[in-house]
Amino acid sequence: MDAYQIMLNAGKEKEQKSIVSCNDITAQFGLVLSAEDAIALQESRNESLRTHQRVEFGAGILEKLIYAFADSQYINQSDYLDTLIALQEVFYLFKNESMDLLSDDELISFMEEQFEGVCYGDMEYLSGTCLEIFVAAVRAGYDGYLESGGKGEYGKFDEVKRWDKDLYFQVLKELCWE
Amino acid sequence: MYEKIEALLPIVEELTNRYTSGDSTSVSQETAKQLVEAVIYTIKVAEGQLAGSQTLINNHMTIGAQYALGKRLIQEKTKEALACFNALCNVGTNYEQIYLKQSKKELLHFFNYYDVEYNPQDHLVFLDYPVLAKVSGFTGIEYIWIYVHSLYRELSFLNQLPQEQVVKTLEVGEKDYRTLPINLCTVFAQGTFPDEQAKQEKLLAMIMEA
Repeated sequence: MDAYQIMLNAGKEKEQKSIVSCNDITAQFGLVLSAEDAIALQESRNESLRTHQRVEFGAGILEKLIYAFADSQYINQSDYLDTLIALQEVFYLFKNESMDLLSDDELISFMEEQFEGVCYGDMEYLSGTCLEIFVAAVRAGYDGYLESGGKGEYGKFDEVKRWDKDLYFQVLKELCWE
Repeated sequence: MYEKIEALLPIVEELTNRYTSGDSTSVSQETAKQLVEAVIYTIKVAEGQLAGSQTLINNHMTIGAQYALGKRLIQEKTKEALACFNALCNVGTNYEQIYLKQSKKELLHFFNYYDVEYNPQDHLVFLDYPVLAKVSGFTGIEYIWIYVHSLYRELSFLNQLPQEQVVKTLEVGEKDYRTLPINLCTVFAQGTFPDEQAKQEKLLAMIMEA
């Protein structure tokens, strides 16, 4: 067993229990994880860590992700586990992409806000567009997130015109007068 | 060392937490490797495994206490090495030896950037000027401590003698001594006792013991 494996295995059971104990809070949003789900999350987390060549200590990021996305309108019990697995994969990917300049909380805040906002729950859009653009700005020296904590940041970099006045009036005209 | 890693985990975890200012639960493998090596190096310093010093820890000491002791020893060694370097800067001339001048600049860089807590195993600089003391196999402050003290002894010896005489002797030993990565005391010994290997070695041993 190598040093890396020892680190991954440390506190495994304790962590499984703490993941399941998140149900106390998330159950009110209709989201519950079983003990098997906790193991699956850990395994996929370890895989993500290996893929992205990272090492995690202490409580890990799973609990923070679970709580941050617990009240999401785009997550249901049927896709809860898959979404969490995808979220932690995206998290570690962009932790690296940001060269560790973003703290866990800043990155999660940004992810959660976009997931609920412009992404409408679309993981592809979150990772392929929102995070790509934001993290590229961070790498280039942008540090506004230090003050905002990662909240309200995407609007500064969004390349898509979210509100088109002319289009709105055209549609309104079509609906009401034509 | 791997069997010890599990015992080191709480220390590595705490160190990582300080390294990230508590902002991140994970670090890159490269950073994790650096921090694990930092902890191992610090404990080795406490165990006296480095620089040939005697074992300082006892069997009843916890690994956390060993780490704390090692950290204190590294800090003390760094202070000692810096004091020696400051004294070295006041020791006469460099005899226009370019590698010596460059190594002194590198040492200054070391003291500006050496990281006692997160990277004590890395001495950061390449010191091209060879000293008499054996430094191979040592890293971090252990390497620098030996290097600086050896350099101080060597230059102090040369500077006790009239500079003109030293320069003449160095030129006898090796006329291109200014531009070659060679030790000045070795050249001085060669210039003082040409073709007398035993006497040269005796002189160098005397310098080392001074």
